[in-house]
Amino acid sequence: MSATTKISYAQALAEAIRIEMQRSADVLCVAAADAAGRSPVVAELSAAFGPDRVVELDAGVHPIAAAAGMAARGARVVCEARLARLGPEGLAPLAELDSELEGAVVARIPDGGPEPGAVAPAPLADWALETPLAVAAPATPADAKGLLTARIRGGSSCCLLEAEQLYGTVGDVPEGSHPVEAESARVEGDERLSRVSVVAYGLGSRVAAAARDRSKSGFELVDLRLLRPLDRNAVAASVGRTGKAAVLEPAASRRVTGEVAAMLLSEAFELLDGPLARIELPAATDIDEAAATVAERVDDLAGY
Amino acid sequence: MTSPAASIVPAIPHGPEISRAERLALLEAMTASRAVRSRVAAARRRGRMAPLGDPAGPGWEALEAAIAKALREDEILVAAAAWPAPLVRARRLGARSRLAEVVAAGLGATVGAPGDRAVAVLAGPGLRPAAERALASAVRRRAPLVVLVAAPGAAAAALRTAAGTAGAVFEQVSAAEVELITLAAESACNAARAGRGPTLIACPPAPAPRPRRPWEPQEPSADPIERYAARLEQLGIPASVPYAPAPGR
Repeated sequence: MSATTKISYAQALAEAIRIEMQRSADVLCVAAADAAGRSPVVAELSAAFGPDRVVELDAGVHPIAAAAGMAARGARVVCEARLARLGPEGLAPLAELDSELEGAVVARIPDGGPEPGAVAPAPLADWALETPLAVAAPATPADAKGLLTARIRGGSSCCLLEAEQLYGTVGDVPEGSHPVEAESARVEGDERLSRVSVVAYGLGSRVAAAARDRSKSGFELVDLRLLRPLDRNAVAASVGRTGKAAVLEPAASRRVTGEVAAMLLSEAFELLDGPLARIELPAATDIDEAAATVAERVDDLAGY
Repeated sequence: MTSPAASIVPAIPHGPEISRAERLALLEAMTASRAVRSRVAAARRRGRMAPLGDPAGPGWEALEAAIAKALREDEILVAAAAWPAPLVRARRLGARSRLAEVVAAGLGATVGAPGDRAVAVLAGPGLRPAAERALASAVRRRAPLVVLVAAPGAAAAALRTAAGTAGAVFEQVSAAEVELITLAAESACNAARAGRGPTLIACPPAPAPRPRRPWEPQEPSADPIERYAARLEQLGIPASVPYAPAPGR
């Protein structure tokens, strides 16, 4: 077991990118100029690697398209992009990028809640799932570092959904290079008898983990880690043990609920003792407040 | 096979010096592109392919043939998915990518590239303010970028304004004149390789010939392949490849 260190989610992301940029000169980092200032991840890297490796684009230049152009030349590009501002077709430049190319783009998509002037928060997970790209949504610093490292090293272009509320959360992260090929979801059982399987990702997984201490009933938490490909076996196995399922998803997003519902109806219908429930995670959520709400909903579903 | 009605094609004054073999190669390139487009159109009619937009239709083959000739083997072409571009390996972006995104991708492809390598971009119309910003960024970085845009309707005028605002060199060449587009593309690529910054080349289609009375001279065809085959015939170079005329021309 490698040594671990306690660092924050944002530090874990920066460390993953820094290690990979040190390992290979083909790894580049791209960020768009932002009136709100640089993200903490990019600011740290820019000082270390300079403008040739950490490319800061002028305002108005589409960062994902520029990253796709760099990938066309064989670079493996980590691109930070505010997808809420780019719109639902912001990931379109990556949709057809030749999978035979050595280059690829890992699009980091921070989700900080509704954009200024927006009526409602953007369904970033839904927009990402509209494309054929792999989509990851790590919930812990260790997963963030591991998934990002793995995607930078190999594979085709993908999206990494990051909830900005998780940036300050701290967790144990293995030191050094730590790629995680997360084909499977992480299932956390409860020592109490679990009557509900709560399927969540990203911020939802952290909220659900915090809700476990508050709920009267026990529940199994299925942290998807990857939204595409979805770990259908883990979800079905968990529902087989508990008999009920609930998907915890941001209010604006619907797609993961739909995919889990379709999967359960077609492959695991006989395992269900009740209909699939959907628990909405409000935008700009305080984790503790949301955990209390989620705990109540899970207890209702479990019959408490 | 040339149409007898398309035999009268005005000579290009001060035209480029192109060898017989290169001329035939341009005609074959456009013919290959037309063949791919015909298959795409047939697949779309059968419902086996989603609509890709204007650049996938006939009439824009000269842009692909010209840029294939102008680029060197180790240089990159970035194109939206709508461009078949069969003779040069294009790095394709998503079908819904707009001009601004394709230009941004071309700009990205110049990052870290050797200074004497050009990057070409093939794009359809669809000007947005973001395209001007991407072009301005390319001018500021003196990126070795050549942008060819299929520009039907009033798009060419809008592109001229955008290039002026961004400070980029602008050229307008008829999409029906493959040799002129080739000349413009080669000149732009040489300027890019020499570090003189990006060039935007807008290619509006030629007007379709009007219906003629029997005593009026036949106007040249607006189809780039028919037009070029007629020019080669005037120069005494028989077209060596069969081609299908664009429907409705």
